Amino acid sequence: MLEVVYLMYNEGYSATSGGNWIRPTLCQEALRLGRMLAEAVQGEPEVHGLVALMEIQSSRFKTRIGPSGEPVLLMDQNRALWDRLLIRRGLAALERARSLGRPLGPYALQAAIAACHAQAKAPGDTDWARIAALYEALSRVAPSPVVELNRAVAIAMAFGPAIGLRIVDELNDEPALRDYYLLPSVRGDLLAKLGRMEEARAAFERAASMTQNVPEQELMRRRAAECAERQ
Amino acid sequence: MRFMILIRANARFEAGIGPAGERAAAFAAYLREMKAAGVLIESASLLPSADGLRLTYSQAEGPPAMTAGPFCDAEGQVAGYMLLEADSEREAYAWAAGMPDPYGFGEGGIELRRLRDTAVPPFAASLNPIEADLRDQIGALRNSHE
Repeated sequence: MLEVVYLMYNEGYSATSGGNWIRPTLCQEALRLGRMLAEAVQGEPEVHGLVALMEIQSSRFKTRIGPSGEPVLLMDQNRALWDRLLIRRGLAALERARSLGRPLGPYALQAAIAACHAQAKAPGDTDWARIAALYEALSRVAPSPVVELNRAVAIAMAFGPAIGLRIVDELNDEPALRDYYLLPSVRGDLLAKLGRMEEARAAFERAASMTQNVPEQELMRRRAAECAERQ
Repeated sequence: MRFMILIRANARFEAGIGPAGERAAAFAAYLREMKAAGVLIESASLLPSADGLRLTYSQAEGPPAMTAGPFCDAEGQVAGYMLLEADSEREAYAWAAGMPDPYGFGEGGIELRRLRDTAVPPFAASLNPIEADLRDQIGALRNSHE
């Protein structure tokens, strides 16, 4: 049931084309269903976790798209435009999930990660160590190589690129990530931070060869060229 | 779409007299019902205008004139509000129509107003949420170069 609500929400959240105005309505419908569920089933932490996740993600609606329709990454968003009311509701729902005293499930953990960003006044205030710990907890209850990759980046942000790179390198043999270009892309960024430009360049080249998405390919090639210049 | 129900004040409210027990109970039940339907986003009761401050902008430039409460036009005051997220105007209207008279004595009054819609932009790429987080984090990693 929770999964259906979240699928519905994401269908709206990541709407691609056609009937654009109806997609956000889908998000609102999912959020409302979630709120109803949370009132009806008060003792289930994951219901509150899911509501918390959807409330906090919705708080960023207005800032996720730039003036010409391009996606704006979290760190570049204008935090002053985040919807404080929805953040407050999300944090309250997360608190309800926690107060039930059981281990947090995948939705509540993702909500807790989203809450870390929502509570940081500026990108530089982000508590990356906490985010890394939450990804660690998430990888226990819902293991996935992409969650691991997230954890590696959070650890690099908190404790430096060398330790992040060690985790990324352990993922090299992961069959599920064999064709996943964001793995060499992350590797390239970490190597570049460590000043290992030749290896970084090779990683970005590899990432470029693994994606069919033209803008992403160009971005990876550009990163590779930058590394070549800085050698 | 979002709506606001504004509860108008009256002389009793301004004098600090709350609704009688059974009215208060009916009102609490109404709020619970709205919450269970996932409609109520936020609600609050205000204090009487005796605690308020009024600023009047009478000149184009220059500081506003300030007046401390209470303000004598009791009926023009607001006693509380509710913020609703409804699927349609019809639904919002139904909720407003179902609200019990906040005071009794035939003195209550509420107003239903629609909020100017904040347009929600569509998103460009279809991503699963964990991957969207990963892209955000890669962005953070790159920003931290500088």
